[in-house]
Amino acid sequence: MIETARPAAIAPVTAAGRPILEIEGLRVGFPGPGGNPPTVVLDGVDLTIRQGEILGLVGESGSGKSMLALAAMGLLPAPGRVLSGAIRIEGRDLTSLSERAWQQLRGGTLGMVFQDPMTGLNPVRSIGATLGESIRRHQRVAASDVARIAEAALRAVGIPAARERLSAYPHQLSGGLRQRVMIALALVNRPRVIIADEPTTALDATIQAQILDLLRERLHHAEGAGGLMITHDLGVAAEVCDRIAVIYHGRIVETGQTREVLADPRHPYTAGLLAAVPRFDGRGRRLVPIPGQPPGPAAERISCSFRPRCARASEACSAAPALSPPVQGRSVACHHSGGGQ
Amino acid sequence: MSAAPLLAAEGLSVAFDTPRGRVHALEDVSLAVARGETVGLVGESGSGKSTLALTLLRALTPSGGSIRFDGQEIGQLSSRALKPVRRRLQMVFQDPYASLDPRMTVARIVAEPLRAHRFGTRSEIAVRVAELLAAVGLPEEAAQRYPAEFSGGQRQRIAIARAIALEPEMVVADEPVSALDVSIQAQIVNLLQDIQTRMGIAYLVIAHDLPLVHQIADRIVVLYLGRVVEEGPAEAVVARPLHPYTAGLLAATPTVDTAGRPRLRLGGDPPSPIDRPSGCAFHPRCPIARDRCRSERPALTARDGGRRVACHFPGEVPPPLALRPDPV
Amino acid sequence: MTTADRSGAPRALLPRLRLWPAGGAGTAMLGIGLVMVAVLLVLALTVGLNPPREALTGNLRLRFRPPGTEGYLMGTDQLGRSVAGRVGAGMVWSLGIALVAATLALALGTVLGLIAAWVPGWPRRVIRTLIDTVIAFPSLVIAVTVIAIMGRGFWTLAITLGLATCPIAARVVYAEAMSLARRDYVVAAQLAGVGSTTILATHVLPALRPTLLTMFAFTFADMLVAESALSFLGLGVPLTAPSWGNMLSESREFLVEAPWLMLAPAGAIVFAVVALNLIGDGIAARARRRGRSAM
Repeated sequence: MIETARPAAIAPVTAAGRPILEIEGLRVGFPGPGGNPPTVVLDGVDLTIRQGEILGLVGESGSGKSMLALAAMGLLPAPGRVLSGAIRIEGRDLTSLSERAWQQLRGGTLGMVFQDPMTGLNPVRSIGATLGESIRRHQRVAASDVARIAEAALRAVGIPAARERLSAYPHQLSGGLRQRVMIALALVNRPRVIIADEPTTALDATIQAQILDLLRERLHHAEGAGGLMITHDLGVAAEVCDRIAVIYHGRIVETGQTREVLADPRHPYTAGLLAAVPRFDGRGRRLVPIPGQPPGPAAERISCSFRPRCARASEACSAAPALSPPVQGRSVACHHSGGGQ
Repeated sequence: MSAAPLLAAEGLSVAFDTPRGRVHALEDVSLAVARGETVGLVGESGSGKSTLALTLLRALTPSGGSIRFDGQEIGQLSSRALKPVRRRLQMVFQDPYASLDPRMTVARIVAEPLRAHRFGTRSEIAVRVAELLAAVGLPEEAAQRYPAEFSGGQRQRIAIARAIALEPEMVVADEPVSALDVSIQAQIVNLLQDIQTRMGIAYLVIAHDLPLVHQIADRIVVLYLGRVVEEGPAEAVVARPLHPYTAGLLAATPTVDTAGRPRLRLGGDPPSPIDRPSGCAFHPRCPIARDRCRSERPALTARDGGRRVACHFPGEVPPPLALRPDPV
Repeated sequence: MTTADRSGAPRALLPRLRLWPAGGAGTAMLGIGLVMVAVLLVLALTVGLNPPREALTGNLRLRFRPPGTEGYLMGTDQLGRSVAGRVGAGMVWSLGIALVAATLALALGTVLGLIAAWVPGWPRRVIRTLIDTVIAFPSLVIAVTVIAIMGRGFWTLAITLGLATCPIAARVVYAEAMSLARRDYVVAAQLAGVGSTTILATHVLPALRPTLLTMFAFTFADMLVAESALSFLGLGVPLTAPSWGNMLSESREFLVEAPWLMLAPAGAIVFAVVALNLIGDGIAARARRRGRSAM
């Protein structure tokens, strides 16, 4: 019963593999009513995920983090669309893909894990049928092998009595087991990219911990694959991700190695988030909230979006800062991040 | 704290009749909240923490045990007899989108308890509503607007204004910040703390977020499957949990300061009250369970330092993790 | 992968007639329905309450004149009475009975439904049993039985139809009130010490309003059809009264030589039913849209 989870060896920066998922200058918008300019929910997002690494995309509601995940899965809700920029998996641009090509990609090259596993599992099909269908669609295997592969996939995600579970239906499983099935489904066809959108938000604390362990272990073991994890919780990102990117109002404001960003946040928003979250070593210390509200997606983008809430805002902030070129893997979009405090 | 507590539950049990038989959501729960104190109640789904909140507030009627508020037994009072108690005991809900009637203006929402208790004339109520909105950091003109025009954090402020309208002595807050954005949570936590300082309100805060509870609570009560498994001063419980479930819960919390450390992991799922395990309900998931745990239910026993624990082998649990991070 | 298809869950099926596509059309539907009802109302108050002499006393020399005959817009019937005049006069009977019956059904149903939702214990059990029992019988059968015993007449018919239909309204109100009772804001009001009557008046009834209005429109239409059906069967209003159902019933004999005798009252019924359904669907669509944007 007791497992002492060992943190997976976090790959050193230098050993990072080839870029596997590249997002370049991605702009996503929803057309305004009556020919008005579109509401831009992602405004020039650049992200690179390399083989063997997990990138955590951290942001609040309305920051555009889920839109990024949906865009990368070809699931943008209508009438939203990619206005410009590129999404590439192993160099192949996906932005002009047909729906049929997306369907071939999803579940195969692209594994997906959602917050609510019930959205990803067909309630009237057994786990085995769902897994089997996915295996047959994406792999060329003998029919007799399908059940064996499915069972192995369930075992790999720590589902006890895997063979019996194949005939179970989603509603017969607990929330934690369902999310394990979802992860098995995402991994069964040896994807190149795995996208997990708030995969543990709906789970209880002890189950969340189990799933985070599993994600960390399986994503790192998935050979040559890269992972993108969307979360609102810095703690969750800290547990699983090698690197994190903080998104605010549709723009990346800071990226870097997880430990470095958390230990030494350079963007005032990242620093603000860290100061606003209760920590076990912070008892009695008053939390420092970020004043104001996160801007809605429709808010203007003339100045730095964080300016109205920023203690360090100055005249310079009336121009939106660009994300700095990476220095030792770190980039910041802030006019004040340069020299010292 | 030795004086009579403001709210004291003794041997409280709540049962529901379901198609599958009688389900005990709470069994033999004892809990006390002193004046001006903050008690944190933690537990996972199925632990009965929300049922406990609603029962203490007498939105539900317990099937056994007693609830005393300021010395008065309220466990079986009729709704008419409860009315004077309601004035002194209020609630803040988790979801500020569901807890405010979308068809009412903010002024009417905040005035609702005032009117119910005949606070004063129409203009006195209007003055009081303005005061309350100011006290929770909302502009005066908010009064004439509808909940839909406000963000989640602002709505929670409205809900807090309603809860403190009658200057209650105690407020039960069920996950008061978990539905809010991270950057907004701290605003609401600080507001609740400021109100406590100003008005001397006692809080019972229900939360799944252990660091938060540790941050704001004087004492922590841990609930598992409808029973209290551990209780004690917040600092002591977090630093040295006596119950293996508390240790597991602590270890499960993802935090930025302890990420990636080797830690205790609980397997399995939280069980359902419908089929409660024998003996200690936690034994199927317990890292230190022995034969005795499978057959004999441990009683909640007092320990040193004002702590109580329901475990046959308290303190034998492996440390959840090194709490202090290495100096970075 | 079977997952996350953008189509999502199947659209909830709208009740009854779907005369208009979903979306922002609720207001349009409501508007057209209200205009149609306004036309009916004006006619009922003018022609209906003060029917022309030609509608009541026939002229046997002018039997079976087709529509368009000078002075007879919809022609004449077997006794040489003006069909248009009789359709107008029939409004008072048909629409009147439906209005009284629908109002009674809704009022009584709301009271019963709210009591069942708010008072657990025996009141809830008794009302629920009553609802289930009455709903188990088709309301027309109940109405036929009662009328066979009580005799015909405006009020007998209206009250019987209302009583026979109120369990349906009661069940809808009960179900909605039960779900409202669990809403946090209702619990919050209870915990603030607000009394049950005040909670019902300030939180529950306002939330029920769209449902009640929608249900009223549909029930009105149902009652109109029920009245016609009963009269058609000879069990409705007195045989001499010019209700639409009676007119339909009488027209059967002359269907081949004078089809307009059937078409005129049938058209009136369809017109009224369509108008009421438009109103009902319009209110429902608007309430749904508001519900979505409020969340």
